[in-house]
Amino acid sequence: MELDQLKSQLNSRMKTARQERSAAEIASMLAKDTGSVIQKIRRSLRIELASAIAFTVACGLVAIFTGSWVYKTYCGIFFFVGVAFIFLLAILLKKTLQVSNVAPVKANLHSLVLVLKQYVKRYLQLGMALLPACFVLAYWLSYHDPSRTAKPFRWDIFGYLVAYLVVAGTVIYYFSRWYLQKLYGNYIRQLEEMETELEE
Amino acid sequence: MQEKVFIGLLDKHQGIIHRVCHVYMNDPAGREDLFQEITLQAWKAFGSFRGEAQFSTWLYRVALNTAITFFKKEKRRPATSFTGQLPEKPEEDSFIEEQVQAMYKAIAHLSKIDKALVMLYLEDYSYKEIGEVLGITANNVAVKMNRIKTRLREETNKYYHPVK
Repeated sequence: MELDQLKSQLNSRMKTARQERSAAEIASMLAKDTGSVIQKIRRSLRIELASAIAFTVACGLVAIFTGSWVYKTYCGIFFFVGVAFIFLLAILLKKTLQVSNVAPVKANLHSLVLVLKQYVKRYLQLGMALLPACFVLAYWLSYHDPSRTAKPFRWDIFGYLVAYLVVAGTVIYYFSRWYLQKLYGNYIRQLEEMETELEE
Repeated sequence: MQEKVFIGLLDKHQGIIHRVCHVYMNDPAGREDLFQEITLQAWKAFGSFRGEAQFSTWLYRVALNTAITFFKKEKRRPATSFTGQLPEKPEEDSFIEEQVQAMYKAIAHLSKIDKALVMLYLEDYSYKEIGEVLGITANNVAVKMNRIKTRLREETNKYYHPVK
């Protein structure tokens, strides 16, 4: 049996298979939320961007108005970290907006794979970079707080803290990597396979 | 105003979306979800439609991009299970009817990319036009179509059992 022989029958059968939607039904669909992965990532990035802006502003206000040297320094540093985060998130959001469903299928697949891989990579990198930064900075600042009586440096406490940091960091890294793979890994792989199939 | 124009165009060409949903989804709930998703994606992208290409070609591009990248968590089913069927035409010769259903089942088991090729081929798009929608050369389309036709011929033999 050849496809060409059954072309007209397949076409006419597909025409009768459909249930016509009225203009009112189509109009009601336009107000709903999309379920596409890229739209969900855009939504997530917008929320993260809004949170980063709020956090950065809060840090700035605390740094300016607090009397405590520790809080001033901690929040001051994270104000600048927050500003960097805002730029990174904005760049990532802009990249997701470049993915277009009107592009040819191959180009659309390619840009979608790139954006998803960037998102997963940056999510992991930024999350992992923050953990030791927060921890080490908090420890260093509290140890050097001028308002407190100087304490002698203790290698055992320092050792425990380093061990805690290494163990917690390792657990969080592998958990985050597993979680992101579970969410997006399979999907990215499927998209890459389709892109390869088009190139063959 | 733009919404009215869009709804008018979509109403006229909704057959394209139905065809894509029918080919890419085997169950009614899945088709419903995909129809909704394609409609939304087309609406979001409508601002970029400048009228350089025909609306039908533009809509096919959006519909296929959406269907190909559509992610729906489905309960695991054996790869050979297939619940979809084309509506039958009682007046049609049962011999042809069986062939049509067998061919449709074979199309349903193609990859997402091959389904897109078959759909555009059935709509009488030229190889050049198919290549433009998919982003590949006309030669590549020709090679793929030959391979698909061979595969469909072999696959339909699995589903078509003429009464002896």
